[in-house]
Amino acid sequence: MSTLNVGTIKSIAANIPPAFQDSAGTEKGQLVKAFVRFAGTSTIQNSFNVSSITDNGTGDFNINFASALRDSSGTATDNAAVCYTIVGTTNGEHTVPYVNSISSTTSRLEAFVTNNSALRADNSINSVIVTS
Amino acid sequence: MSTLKVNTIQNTSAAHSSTPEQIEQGRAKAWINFDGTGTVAIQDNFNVSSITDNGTGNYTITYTNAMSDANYSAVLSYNIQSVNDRVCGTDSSNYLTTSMRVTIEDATQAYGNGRADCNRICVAIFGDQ
Repeated sequence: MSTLNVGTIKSIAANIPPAFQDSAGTEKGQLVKAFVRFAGTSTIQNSFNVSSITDNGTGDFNINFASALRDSSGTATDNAAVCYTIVGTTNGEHTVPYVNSISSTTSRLEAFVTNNSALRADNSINSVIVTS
Repeated sequence: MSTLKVNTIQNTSAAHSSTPEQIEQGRAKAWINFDGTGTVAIQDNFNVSSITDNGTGNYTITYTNAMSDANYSAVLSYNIQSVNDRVCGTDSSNYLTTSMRVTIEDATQAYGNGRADCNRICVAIFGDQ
């Protein structure tokens, strides 16, 4: 049993995290850059790198990132992969989750009632993971 | 080349402990953001070598380095569409170590009917590699 006690694992390059490689030098996976679980009331229940949730209205939210999303070169990017899932609406309606927009600092998420382009609904659990 | 072999990594206050397995399993082994309209365009990715356009709303994502098995987890999302009856689909018969198929389905019809292209599809893959 061995334990490495450190405060920080620091990269040698600005804005580029350390890479995880196998013995052949092939990169094996990347850490997610942000995640959040929040209730339909925009209350954050758990998160990483999310400073706040803006409630734009029923079923309409902006996730605001604490640190800007960056690509593999360390440059701020609007091309992150934002994956959004929902669990149950607060009023029992069926909804589908959409990612309306993605920028380096925020992403807008919307949950529309199935087959009704004018009606959004809040959901009891919203989960988002972000990679870039 | 040096290798640090430990069972646990934690902060100097002995909190926020992680095992190497947790860190390994917690990493996305592949991810992609792509535009599936017209000529399919990859916006950014990790460990994706190509996207094959199989037809309307039907794409195959091929990994640069394969997964160890086909039991990995794929998390998907897509941009808002003009109608709200679209859902992401994955075809289990095309859920392979080297690639997976993603479709944008019409939830009101049988699987494979009424598919639509989408201008932004995001996928993240977690599992053994």
